[in-house]
Amino acid sequence: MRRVIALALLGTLVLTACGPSGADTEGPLVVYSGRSEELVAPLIDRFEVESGIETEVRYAGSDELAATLLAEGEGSEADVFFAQDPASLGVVAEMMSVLPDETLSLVDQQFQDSGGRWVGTSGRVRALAYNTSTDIPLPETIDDVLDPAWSGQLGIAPTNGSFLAFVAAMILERGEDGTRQWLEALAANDPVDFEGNAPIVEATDSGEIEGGLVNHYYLLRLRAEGLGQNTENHFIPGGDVGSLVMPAGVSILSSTARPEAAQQLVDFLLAVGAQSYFATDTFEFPLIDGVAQPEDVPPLVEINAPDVDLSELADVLDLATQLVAEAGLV
Amino acid sequence: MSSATDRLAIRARDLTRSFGEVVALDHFSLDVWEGGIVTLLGPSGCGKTTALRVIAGFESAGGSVEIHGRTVLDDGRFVPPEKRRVGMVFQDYALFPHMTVASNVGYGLPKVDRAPRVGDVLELVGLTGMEERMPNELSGGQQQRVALARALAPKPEVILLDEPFSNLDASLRDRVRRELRVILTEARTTAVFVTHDQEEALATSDIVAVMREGRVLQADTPAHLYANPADPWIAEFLGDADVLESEAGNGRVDTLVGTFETDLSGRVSVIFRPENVQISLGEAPNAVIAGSEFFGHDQLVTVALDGGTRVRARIGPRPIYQVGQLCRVRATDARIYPG
Amino acid sequence: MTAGLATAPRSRAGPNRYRGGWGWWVAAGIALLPALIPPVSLLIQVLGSGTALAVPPARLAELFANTILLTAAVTVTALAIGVATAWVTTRVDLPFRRGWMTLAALPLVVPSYVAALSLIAATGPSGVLFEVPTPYGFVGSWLILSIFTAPLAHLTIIPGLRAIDPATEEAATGLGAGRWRVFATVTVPQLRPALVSSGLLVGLYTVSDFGAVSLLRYDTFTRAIYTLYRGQLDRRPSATLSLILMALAIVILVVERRHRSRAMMHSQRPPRLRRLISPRRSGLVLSLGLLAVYAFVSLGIPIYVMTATVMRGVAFGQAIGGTLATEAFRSLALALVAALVIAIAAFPVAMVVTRRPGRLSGWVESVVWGTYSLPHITVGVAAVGFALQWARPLYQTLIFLVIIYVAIFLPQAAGSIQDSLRRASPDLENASRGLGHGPVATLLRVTLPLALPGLLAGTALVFLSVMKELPATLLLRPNGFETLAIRIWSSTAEGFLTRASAAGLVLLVASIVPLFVVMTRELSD
Repeated sequence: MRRVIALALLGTLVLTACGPSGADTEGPLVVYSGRSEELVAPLIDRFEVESGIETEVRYAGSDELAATLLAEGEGSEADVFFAQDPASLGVVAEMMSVLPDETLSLVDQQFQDSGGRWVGTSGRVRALAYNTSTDIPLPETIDDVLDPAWSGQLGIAPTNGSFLAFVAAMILERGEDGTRQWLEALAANDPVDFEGNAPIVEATDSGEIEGGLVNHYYLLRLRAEGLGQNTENHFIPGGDVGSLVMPAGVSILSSTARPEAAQQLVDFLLAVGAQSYFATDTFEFPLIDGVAQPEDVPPLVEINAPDVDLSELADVLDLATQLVAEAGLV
Repeated sequence: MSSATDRLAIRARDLTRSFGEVVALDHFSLDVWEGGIVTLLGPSGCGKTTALRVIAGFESAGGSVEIHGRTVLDDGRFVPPEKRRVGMVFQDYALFPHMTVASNVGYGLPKVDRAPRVGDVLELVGLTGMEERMPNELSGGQQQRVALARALAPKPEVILLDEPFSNLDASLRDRVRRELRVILTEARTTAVFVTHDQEEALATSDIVAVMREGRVLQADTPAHLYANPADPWIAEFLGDADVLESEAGNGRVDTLVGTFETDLSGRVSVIFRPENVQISLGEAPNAVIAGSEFFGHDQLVTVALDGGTRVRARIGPRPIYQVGQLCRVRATDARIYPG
Repeated sequence: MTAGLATAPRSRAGPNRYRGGWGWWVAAGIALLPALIPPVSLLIQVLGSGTALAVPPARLAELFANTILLTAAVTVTALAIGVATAWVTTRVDLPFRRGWMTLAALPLVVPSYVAALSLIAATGPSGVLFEVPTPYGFVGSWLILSIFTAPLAHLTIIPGLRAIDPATEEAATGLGAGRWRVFATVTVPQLRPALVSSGLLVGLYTVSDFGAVSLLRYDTFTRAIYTLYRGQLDRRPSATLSLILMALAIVILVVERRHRSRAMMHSQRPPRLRRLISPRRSGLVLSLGLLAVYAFVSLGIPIYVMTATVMRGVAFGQAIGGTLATEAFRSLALALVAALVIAIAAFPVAMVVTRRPGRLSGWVESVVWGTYSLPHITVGVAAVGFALQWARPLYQTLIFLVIIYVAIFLPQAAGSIQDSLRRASPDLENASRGLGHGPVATLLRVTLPLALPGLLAGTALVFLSVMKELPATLLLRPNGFETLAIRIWSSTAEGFLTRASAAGLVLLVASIVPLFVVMTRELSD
């Protein structure tokens, strides 16, 4: 028993040592990041070095962080919210300050909030990852995945934020009834459930399913791990939400105690260095001009993205979740 | 006690067993005749419980054991305990705490006709009507009787009992002991007891085997054993005894309390039992009363001889002596040992 | 003389009663407070904003049935495995016996979703081990959960086995019972308290599990609850379902209490030191075979899959991740501290339940086990709400995180301690008081040592559970405090397979040494 107590005391020491770094007069810049540490940490490190601003990041899911921000309210410690998808950004848009014009002008109109409260940092496109040995004809429009040929072979991640954003965009495009019909038809076609996008691509690659609706960069991530030889991305050319472009984005809380530092981070994310990082290291589309596109994907301009006002995604997100549940997909 | 027509119920030969560095049995040998009651008597740690466990089959050992002529332990053989048909009553009873009295007692019986036999055996030990009680609801004496009933129920030919009375209070102990002896004799069950209490051993057994450090020193009837202990240690272990050292020669030895015949010569120990020591007043004194313990039916009086050695005398309830009284002390019998 | 039972027959009503003070109730009440946070938050939520059922009743019934089926099946098999591994490593003289004992407990540290991922990777069309179709659905969930919750039973039953008086088994043997009959009629019944505790631990854990059933696509109640937390700001549906789940758990607990054995299994004296069975060749092969197969399936396969992934990734230039060492330290420190705190907190709860059985202690048990059955995300969300509302300075601190761990994991420690305490007669404590030792001295010198096997088993359980905990930790941790479990989850979700597997391997390795330390001597002799 004494050994256990000794170990625990040791543990307490370690914990207190590892704890938050204590009283800085100004305190670090607190970032809530819905983007994972693996992707973001190198960027943040670089930012810290370049700007000298100490930064503390909280990593979790974008939707979770949005909910947390709402719960924390004005007393929230967060200064910057860096999210995976526009829906999460939209949910908390009212807590955010309007970004300056110089920032907003860097990025195309469709990749920012209509009210200027968030700006996109990199582009992520919905795609169909498919197994190269499949016989199923590749879809021209999003309705083609409802084809019986895909029965039992199409992977989806109905609880994933990107899928819900995709459904939300469909509501904006087709309305509630049209979306409901589509979802019910999808459910009737026996789709295969996954927890996230990466498992869909892995399953496609291993041959378990013929394809699935994912974000484009997961395949490229998998290839970096030495897998993915049997899979390709297909960007649905029909101009509908099948190839929805969802930017990751960043916004500054209006309650922040460090507005200048926060702005510096936003500028950093939209500067060439960070944007190239997105292209080369995370396989996402840069959103400012003058940065090379990622390899192995068609350029963003060639992808026939739908004309959807991303700012409105947050408004229909609850409805999207409800329709997905009602269709029996979850 | 035994004759050529009786069979040997248990024959243990040269049992040897160590636990790590501790030698528990050292060429232990014992013969137990059918229907006999044998007690293994010895101080704690002498190996008596181990001997019992080897006979029962819960331990293995070097040497051999035969039960009713059947070899159950040998160089090449080890018959597991469940096949030996030997009943055992454990020191702490080991009743199954999760079963009723009836289930405990009936455990060793086949399912058919279990209930009548359980009833019979419970009646035998005086626990009729307790079938549905749980062990933790019973007193110590009742638990002991359940343990006994459980061991007797399958009608074993041999039963082993490890200090079965040590958890009982004095009056209960005597009564249960007597009753048990009656039960065993009536059933003609061979029994081997283990105890460190010599009174119990002498009172209950046909044969007492005195053990020390893993072996049997002397095995005999209680009367013979008591009167003729083979060495001073046994003499002192078996009952009260006092020692006087003296020189022997010419066929006798002189002591302060009397002269005795002996063939030994040189230094000897002379051992007296209190019941063989007498006290009288009025003759030339050779001792002083040093103290006494009163037991109701007798007294144990301690006297100090010239030179300070103390000797005890067991006398009747009267007369009551005073400490400091001068008296004459005389022994009527003694055993003499070399050294 | 031995400390036997009293010579007067007792009534059946309350032989366990012990003249302790109200101090235990106060301590238990304090220990209970964290466990109250989730249900009270849920109730407030529901009373305030009403309930909402986002799931149609027919589907709800289906989820219910699925959950019950899985729970029952997993409980039976996990207990069977746990009893087997516990018995073999406690009773049989095996080479490296204590090592096997530790190995059989280790799988508990593998998060259920990692286990499920290993199964998926090991099977399927390009499975690394068996090219069989991956058993999604009930079969896979049942398999994975049984294998990886068996340690809950294993660790709980070991102290139970050790406390059985060997004389009772010998007595049965002497009465003619063969090995199996002794096991079935004498050993197992005396294990009953430990078996019941194990059953509750395994069953209610299965109810709350999300990782395995989501990956293996088996729709349970908890899966529905998690889904309701995604992308939904309205907390009513999730709160409603969580409360229903908690009610289910309490029903199970009440049923168990009704059937609690009336046999008081107090040892009359400390059991004589038992010697191990020296097996014959066939017994040795069987025992080692069982343990080896279990270790292979529960540890070998995941380790193989993870190692293969790391090697492949590294060959392709992927980094393992430089933060692993820090995260390992953090996980270990947090888990050890939490384990100790929870063991301490569980003690008064266990005392109150065993020594003062009655309606009040029944309520205590209900709260504690009820919260244990809640999905961790429910607990986390409730805790966040509570902290923001009432305890702002504690928000996002390690102290609060540990407090919430107490809420979640208390029964794991309390169950084991209860079993040990049940074995020890309260007379021992009374005797100590009678000899002039005050309550504190009695606690330290009599009660604590008696409860030690259960205490250690419980500490080991909690340590492993905290090492792998995810949803509540994600929500409540301070910014920048990443654990191995979080690393694994985050890397997996983003497809950083090499880093995920490397972190998984580190999780296993880091857990072995503390586990072994906790399990030495007192548990294994």
